Amino acid sequence: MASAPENEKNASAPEKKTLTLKSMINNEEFVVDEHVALQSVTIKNMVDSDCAGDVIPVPTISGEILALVIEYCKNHANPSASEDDLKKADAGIVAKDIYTLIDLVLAANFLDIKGLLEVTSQKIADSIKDLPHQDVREIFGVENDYTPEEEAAVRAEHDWAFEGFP
Amino acid sequence: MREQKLALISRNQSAKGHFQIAMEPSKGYGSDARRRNSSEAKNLTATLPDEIIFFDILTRLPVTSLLRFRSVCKLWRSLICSPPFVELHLTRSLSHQLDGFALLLPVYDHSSAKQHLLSVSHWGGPATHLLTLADSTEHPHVSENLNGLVCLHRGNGITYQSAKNSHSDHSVYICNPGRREIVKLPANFQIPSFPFYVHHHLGFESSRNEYKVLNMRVAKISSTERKCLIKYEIFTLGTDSWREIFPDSPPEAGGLFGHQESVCVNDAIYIGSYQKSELSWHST
Repeated sequence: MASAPENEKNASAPEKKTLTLKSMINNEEFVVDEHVALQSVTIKNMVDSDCAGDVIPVPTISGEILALVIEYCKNHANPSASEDDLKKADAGIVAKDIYTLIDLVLAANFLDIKGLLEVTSQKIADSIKDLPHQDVREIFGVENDYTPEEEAAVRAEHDWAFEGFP
Repeated sequence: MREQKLALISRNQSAKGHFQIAMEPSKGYGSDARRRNSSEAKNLTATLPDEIIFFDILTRLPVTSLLRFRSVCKLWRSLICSPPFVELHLTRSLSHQLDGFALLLPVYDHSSAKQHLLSVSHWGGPATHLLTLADSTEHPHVSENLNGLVCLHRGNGITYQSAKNSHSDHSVYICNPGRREIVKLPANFQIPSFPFYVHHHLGFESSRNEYKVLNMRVAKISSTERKCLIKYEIFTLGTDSWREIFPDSPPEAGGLFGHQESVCVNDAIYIGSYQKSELSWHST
């Protein structure tokens, strides 16, 4: 597509193209360079198939989360950023509470940004690995469908793993 | 439950290319009404799709956490033990040294004349007791680690003919130190009357996703003759019996004497040998 020597494309090349992402949760708008936004496969597909208007509405993602996503995309669109810099920047982005991380992983999944999905998933895993299973239930909104007897039996199979846990 | 499991797995596989371009609210992400501002109302449930929870998040957890989280609900219990989950978890573990054990220590307690097998994790900490073998003066032989499993058997594999020292017990165990689980394999194969040695080798056949144990028994035809007879049997984990196999080009028995070391690479078991070339063995 970039190789097509059409006048139209050449004309728009010199000035940096931008896209506006709009959170449909709180109507916050973000103007970002196109190459930054294209880190999202979902947005890239939209742009490639000419489905993207000037303003791209992003449902179910709040402005707060969208800002984090854009920060991630900016960092990773910077060709001069070293691996080390990116690691530090990623760690800063995911240094959030578990509920923000869950929103962020949803956004990364929805926008299809593989790197962000991985780094956020890893952070969630690190945050829950030492929690009691009752807390994990609450975090993920999972209903306990064991009877007390069943639950005790499952636990007894690996009782040692529960040392120090309620 | 089984159907639910399969559905979830296939959903995940097709979803890796990911969701449609149309940016409309979809059920999978929860309706706006269920959303919450992350800084408040933490008691409201999150709306993560199951495939993200299981395949993106839980596969990054250490085994100990997963064993605890089997208690979350029935779906979690069955998924955490499902083959696709285990496979992905293993792949991640191998690239991150996620957990498991760094050391297996056979220890002999003189006062009780018992052998113990202990494991220590990558992060140090106290050793974990895995197994006790009574009436055994020799350390159990422990195989190479194969995807987190080891095969161990009693004694050094060499049998003696004097009745006093003879190892009548050739028990074989498969051990998963990460889960602290040990399975004793049935030992219903016949020990020849003039056994020379009995060895076991652990293998994995990726196309069938099966772990196998190769049993090799070398026996003299009689107590006076030098000539040896080798028998081979294969045990597939998950089944309950050994089956004899007849290799096309069996190795020389003498070259294998005393060699218990083996490694499984690309579905073949390689066994150390005194002969020039190594014996390779397809685990089928």
